[in-house]
Amino acid sequence: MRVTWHRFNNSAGLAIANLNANHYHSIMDHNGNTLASLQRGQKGIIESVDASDPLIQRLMVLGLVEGAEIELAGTALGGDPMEFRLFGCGISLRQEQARQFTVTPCESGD
Amino acid sequence: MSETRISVADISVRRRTDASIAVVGSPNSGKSTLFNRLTGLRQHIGNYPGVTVERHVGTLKGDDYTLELIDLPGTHALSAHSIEEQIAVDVIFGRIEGTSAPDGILAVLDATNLYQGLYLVQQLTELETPLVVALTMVDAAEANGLRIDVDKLTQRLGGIPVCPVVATTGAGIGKLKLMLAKLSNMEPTAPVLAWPELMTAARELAGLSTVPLRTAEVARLLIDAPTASTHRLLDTVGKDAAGKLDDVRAKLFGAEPALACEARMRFSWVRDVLADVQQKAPPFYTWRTRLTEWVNRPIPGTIGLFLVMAIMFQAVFAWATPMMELIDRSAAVLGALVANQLGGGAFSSLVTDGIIAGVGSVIIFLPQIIILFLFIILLEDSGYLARAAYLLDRTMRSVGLSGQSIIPMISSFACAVPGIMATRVIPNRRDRIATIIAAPFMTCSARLPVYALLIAAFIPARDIAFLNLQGLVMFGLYMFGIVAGVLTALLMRKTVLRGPKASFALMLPEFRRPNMQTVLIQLLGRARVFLYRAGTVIFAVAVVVWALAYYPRATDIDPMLTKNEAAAAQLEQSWLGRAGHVVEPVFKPLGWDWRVSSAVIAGFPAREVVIAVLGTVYAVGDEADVATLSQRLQSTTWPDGSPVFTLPMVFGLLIFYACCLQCAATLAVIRRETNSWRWPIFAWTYMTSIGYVGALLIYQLF
Repeated sequence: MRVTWHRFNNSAGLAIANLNANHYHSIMDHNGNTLASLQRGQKGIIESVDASDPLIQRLMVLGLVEGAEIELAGTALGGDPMEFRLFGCGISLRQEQARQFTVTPCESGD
Repeated sequence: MSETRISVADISVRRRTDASIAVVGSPNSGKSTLFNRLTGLRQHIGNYPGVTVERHVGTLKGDDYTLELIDLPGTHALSAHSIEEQIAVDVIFGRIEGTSAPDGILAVLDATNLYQGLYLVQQLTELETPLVVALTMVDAAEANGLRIDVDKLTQRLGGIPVCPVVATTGAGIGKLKLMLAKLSNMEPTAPVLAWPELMTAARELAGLSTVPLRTAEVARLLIDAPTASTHRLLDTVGKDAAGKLDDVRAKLFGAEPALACEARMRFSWVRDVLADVQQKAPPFYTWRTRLTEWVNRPIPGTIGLFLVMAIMFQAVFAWATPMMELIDRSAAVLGALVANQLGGGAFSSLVTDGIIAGVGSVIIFLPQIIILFLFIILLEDSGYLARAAYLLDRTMRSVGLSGQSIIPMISSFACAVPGIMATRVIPNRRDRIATIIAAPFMTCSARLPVYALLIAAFIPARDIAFLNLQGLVMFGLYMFGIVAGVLTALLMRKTVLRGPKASFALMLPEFRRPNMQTVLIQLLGRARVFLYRAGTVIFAVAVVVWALAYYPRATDIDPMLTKNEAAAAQLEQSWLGRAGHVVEPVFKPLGWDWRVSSAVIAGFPAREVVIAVLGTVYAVGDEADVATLSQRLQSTTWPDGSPVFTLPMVFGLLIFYACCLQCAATLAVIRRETNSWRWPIFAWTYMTSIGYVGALLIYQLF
């Protein structure tokens, strides 16, 4: 798990240092259910966010915080970047960033 | 705070307007449409000191009041992320040099996106400035199945007036104007508390400061990463307060980043309010949802993008032709008329050869430029440019940039100046500079006339397998610009701008029908800039070039020569001819004679001038329009009788123009946007060298 984590994060060392125990556990518990693993049309509730990257903090200011309901609306060619719907508004992220948000999926997509 | 800042300039402004009101809202909230609706054409555009961010100020006149409205750049929150957002925040706090904080704030809240919008509105209540909320796009919200309880929203916002409006139709605008008239006399409402501990801590710190400080400003100081303006603020808070900052931060945020804590606290308040004021019904199926759903599928979306681009370029060339021919013929008729009236002599020559031929040959491209800008503005206003950025992100990633670089690059097809200004949305400095250096390679509307003239004159109008050869060359030049720009960006990201991969996060607004008033106001502004240039810079250059080509008058021209030969002999011994001969050796390896060389030199401040110069140089002694100009170019020869404009020379010249950065306005905007002379100097040298070497290789090898 730790190895995979490294691959996802550019500043992996920093990320792990800043990660508090809670977050680390929730990432483990959810067994890799992140925004990136949602299916097209599938909804999920954001469970935890690794906020160490300033870009992720910015996404949180845009509303991607714990408790928000979010839906995968579609992807560009090749599955990346992804487009999400958040309370009716569209927001696009790369898979790399989408993996920093763990989710509890609500219902299955099409 | 505001009392200490009032200067003489402010007092004189106050006499003309009763109050200044800042219009604050997130991007795509319908803020500018509402602003245009409120102020109409009573607005002017300036710049904020030190940056190229445009400052839109308008006047709202009522029966017994006059208000000054400032349309701020869109911002999602008071925690600024880009230069434009920083400007918006600085205006709100009255930190812009020479201005005080606004007397009131008009918050624009998009009814279709209350979730993000309320985040900003809640922050604005903490400013303790009189506040009115305009709830825009209520019609679209209803179509989406959202019902919003306005009274309850007012109640949850602590009594702040909320006015539902539809900016495109004008519904609710009258009521909003009445609210705005009363705004500056209104008592600021108490902050709506989403995070009481933060405000309490900020108030305590503000109490320790030696100068009066706004609680909300201290709260920002606690949360945001330090910027130039917060450094200034730190100096004023005094040692007692500054020393405590870190203690307070540790208590409030723990080990988590401050911004993340803020977002969690405020959005939990927003969700609570939403559950209270917003009811959701199943949405109607509108054309927007159908369209959005269709483009969300990767393959139709990508095909759609290429179709849109193809239609745009087709329109620029096909639709503009009739209007261009009209202008061309009018210029020729006007020239002949004036020549008849004035007879011969220097003045007649100045008007017909200098002014009408020179300026006319540039104005002819106004239709193409208007169509190009119309498309760019429509694409931007309808929300499609953001979609293009999203679809092309993966492609841009392979050259070390992100999809966000697409918007400046597409804008640069119209003009690199607004294109470079559009790079402000790119948060990463390395990405931003690489995009700024790549943007001027895109074929801008000023390159178009040069390409159009040379192609019309020298590329045969032959068909190659259903495709017109002239069109193919034009297309090739556009592609060349894109490839050169992209390779340049890649080169820079691998060398001087080496760094971590570009990041990407983008709001994708829903498609909407562009508001015609907003589109027209923008289009008129662009046309005015173009005509202003034609009337000033290009007019002046045309007159100077005419004078250089007309004087000194030769006395010893053989009377046996024909009219055109005599004109050519006169030109050769004029000041322009002599100057051209001096620089000729530099350009001779490219196959350029002294006439082309002097036209290219004259075009360095603005590349479209080269057409005016060629028009003037080849018109001296005869009437001019573009059709005859290309004929005249074709018949130009070297002293030994061989033609100057051979195919390799013309291709070389085209490549030179595709690269060379002949535009003072672009250099100035690069200087301002990068805040250093290094980048404009680099861009100029780099692009000019590539253009020269490219033209040299083509001429020498073929």
